[in-house]
Amino acid sequence: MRINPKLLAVVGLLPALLFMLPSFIGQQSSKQPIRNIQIKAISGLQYDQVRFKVAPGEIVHITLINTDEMAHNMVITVPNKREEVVALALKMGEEGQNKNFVPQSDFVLASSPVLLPGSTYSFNFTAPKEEGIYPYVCTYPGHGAVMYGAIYVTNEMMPPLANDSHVPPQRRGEQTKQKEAEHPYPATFPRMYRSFLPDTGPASIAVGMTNQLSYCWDAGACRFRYLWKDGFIDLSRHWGGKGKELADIVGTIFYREENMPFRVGPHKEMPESEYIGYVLEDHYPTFKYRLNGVEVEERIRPTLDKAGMYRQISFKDPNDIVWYQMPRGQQVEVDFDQGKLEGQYLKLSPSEASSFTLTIAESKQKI
Amino acid sequence: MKLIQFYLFVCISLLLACKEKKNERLSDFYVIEDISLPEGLLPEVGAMDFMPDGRLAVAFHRGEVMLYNPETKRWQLFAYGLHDPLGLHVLNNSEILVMQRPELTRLRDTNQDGEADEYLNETDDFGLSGNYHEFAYGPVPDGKGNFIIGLNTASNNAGVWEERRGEYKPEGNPGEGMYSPVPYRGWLMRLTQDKELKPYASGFRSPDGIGFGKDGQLFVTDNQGDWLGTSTLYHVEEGKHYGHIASLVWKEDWKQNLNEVPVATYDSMRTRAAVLFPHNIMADSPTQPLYIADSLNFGPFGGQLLVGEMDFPRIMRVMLEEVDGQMQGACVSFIDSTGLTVGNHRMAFGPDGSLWVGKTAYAWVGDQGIQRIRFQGGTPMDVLKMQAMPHGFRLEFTRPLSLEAASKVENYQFQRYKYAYHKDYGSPQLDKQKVAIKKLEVSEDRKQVILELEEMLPAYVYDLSIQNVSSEKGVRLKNNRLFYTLNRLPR
Repeated sequence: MRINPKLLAVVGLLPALLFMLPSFIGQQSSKQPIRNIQIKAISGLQYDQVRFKVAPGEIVHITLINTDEMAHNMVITVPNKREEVVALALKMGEEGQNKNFVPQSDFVLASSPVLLPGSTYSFNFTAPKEEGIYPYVCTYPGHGAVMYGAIYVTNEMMPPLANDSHVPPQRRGEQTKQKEAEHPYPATFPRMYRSFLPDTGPASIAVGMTNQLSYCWDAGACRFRYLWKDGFIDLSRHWGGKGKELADIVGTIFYREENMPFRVGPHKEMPESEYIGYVLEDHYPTFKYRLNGVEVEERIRPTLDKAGMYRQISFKDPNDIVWYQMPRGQQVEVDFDQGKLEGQYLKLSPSEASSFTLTIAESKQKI
Repeated sequence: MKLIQFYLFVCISLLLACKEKKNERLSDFYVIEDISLPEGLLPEVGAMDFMPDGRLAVAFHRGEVMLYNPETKRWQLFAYGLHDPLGLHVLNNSEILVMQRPELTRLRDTNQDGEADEYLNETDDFGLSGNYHEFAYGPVPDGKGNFIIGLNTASNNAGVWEERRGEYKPEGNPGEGMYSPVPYRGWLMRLTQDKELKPYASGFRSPDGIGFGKDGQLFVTDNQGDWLGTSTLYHVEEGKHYGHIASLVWKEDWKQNLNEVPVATYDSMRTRAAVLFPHNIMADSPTQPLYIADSLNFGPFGGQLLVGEMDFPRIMRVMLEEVDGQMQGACVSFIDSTGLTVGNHRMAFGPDGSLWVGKTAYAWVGDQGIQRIRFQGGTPMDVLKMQAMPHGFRLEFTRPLSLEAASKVENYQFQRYKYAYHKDYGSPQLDKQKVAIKKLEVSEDRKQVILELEEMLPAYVYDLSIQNVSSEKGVRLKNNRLFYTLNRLPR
């Protein structure tokens, strides 16, 4: 005979439930439903929530979700014992792994197991009757010094986040965060970064020519990508994590080059490209690359009167016609000092290609 | 020469004068100091090397290469705007090779103003998928005019970009664990003198630490994770495979689906690690191996390797030997706490023989800054060598032992275990057992202890705890936990 174990449990509990019924009903009004608290372990050794409030004696249902790529746990301690518990966990040595890095200690009130990346664990936590600030911390070796938060067991308000010494310093709110210097040298222009940038290849370079005018050049594809105004880039997200986040463009992109614009030879075939590098001239990079074996130098400078750039291009001994595909569908004006237009291409003789300048500047009209 | 003789004389007389103190600490021998750093710098160190003129070149997380003069204690900017520089090799006082994420770059100060003005592509002949985990390491010179670089695999916590560099093989992603979508992710590469980048060895997950040993052997660390039950030190030889499977899609003539090859086949293809670093005990994330030249004045450990560690305040020491054609040996703490912080990422010996240690965290466990470790002379009480024998191990100490404690079998506790080779992340210690000591012998000079064991099984880690053993004057052995990776049994 097969017995449904669930059914058995319910039947077995029935007398107890019936017995409890009157008192349960009686308490219903005073007892609040269990609150759900969701806490995520996130990238950069931190919990997404660094503090929350519960009433003394309240039962909360805590769900820990590990969205990070490292293993984490959550250990709730008695007030002011966070660091001691972290130290005790470290001393567990190889025992630690088997015991989820939760030390045997009266300081520990509750704990989750070690959660591998992508896993979740829930548990009920009954807040102590005694008011106080109860820390929670990841005791996985090395994490405890920075990965923690605080449960405020109180009926009062929590203090302002900005001065809260119970949460990690970098999480005390934006108002305390001053814009710090990013480098040990002054942030002057022109300057540049190789980084992960949007809408380009992974080997790209951001150049801020002035604080108002910047461009992206792709060292993988050896070509200009886009030009923007009203700012440079913000690298704080990129630097703050493991390098996954892209640098943020500050300002507005107003010109993009969709393809490699240059052709070498009469048939206008897409050239083979090879990146050589750049040299700095007054802190502006001069890019060097080869197209079908012909060495090319590209110098880019800001235009002075409106948002735009001069691109001074040199093909070294091309021995053949060079073509530049004129941009289309963009709100820019394009000017050139050499060659002549042939359909959508600017045609340059070998000597003209040895040094010519394209001026690309913002315009109200689309070309 | 006269100076050296004088120095030796002073050292010896000092030693004799001081006698041996019972409460002697490791910090009496190795003094650790913090290096001051310029304001505005985020001092997470990606790479370090010394210039011939004695300045230290350091690459930092936000893309700067800075030069530090230990005499004047001044920092000076050399290059900027680099993307995740994690390797650096000084060519001369005005030229540096730096490995940044997208390329190996030659930085050159051509106008002698102290700052690099040329940033030339030495090689970018490898794939970039846009996956953030595709770090690049090296270049480490092999002494024959070539350089070794290491290419990290991509992380399963992120995908690849629409726009990539290099050929794309979706089959390089087996669906679980680190993957290799573009060439040659998970490989070590050799850059030849004519600047050709060629695949050198496969099977790496995160080869952050690359270095050469005493006799020109190449050593590489890798990090616990999928296909790595625990972190490793490999002795790398050309053409061999070291176990992480994703890289195999770029092996010539590789046609199989990564998921259809039995683990036993993968197991037979790999070369085992020379040293396993037990996870959570010894190392969670080992970094650079650095060889201590015999000529350096850095204590009694010449010829051995130091290995940095990210998660513990520790630098490890590795004692290697070749048995039956296979490299193997033991790891032990070299410096553990005593003022050292965590995040020990890059190391370099200065011209004066001091060890410089650069820290990083990179949003993992770690720290910031640079510490300098100076040897003060004398002989710290330590295990100098651990060697496998057909029926046990031979320990050699730096100083004669107190005979009474050294002769007690119960002062030596052996256990052995192994780690799984599988696609899962990490591995528990498997088949863990205590190993009884059958016989103990202390050499006449009381510097060696031979321990005969009940059993010696290849492919196990032999984990030894030494308790209560001290020098003849009572100085306790501090670094008393050793882990010997027994690949082969000596005959």
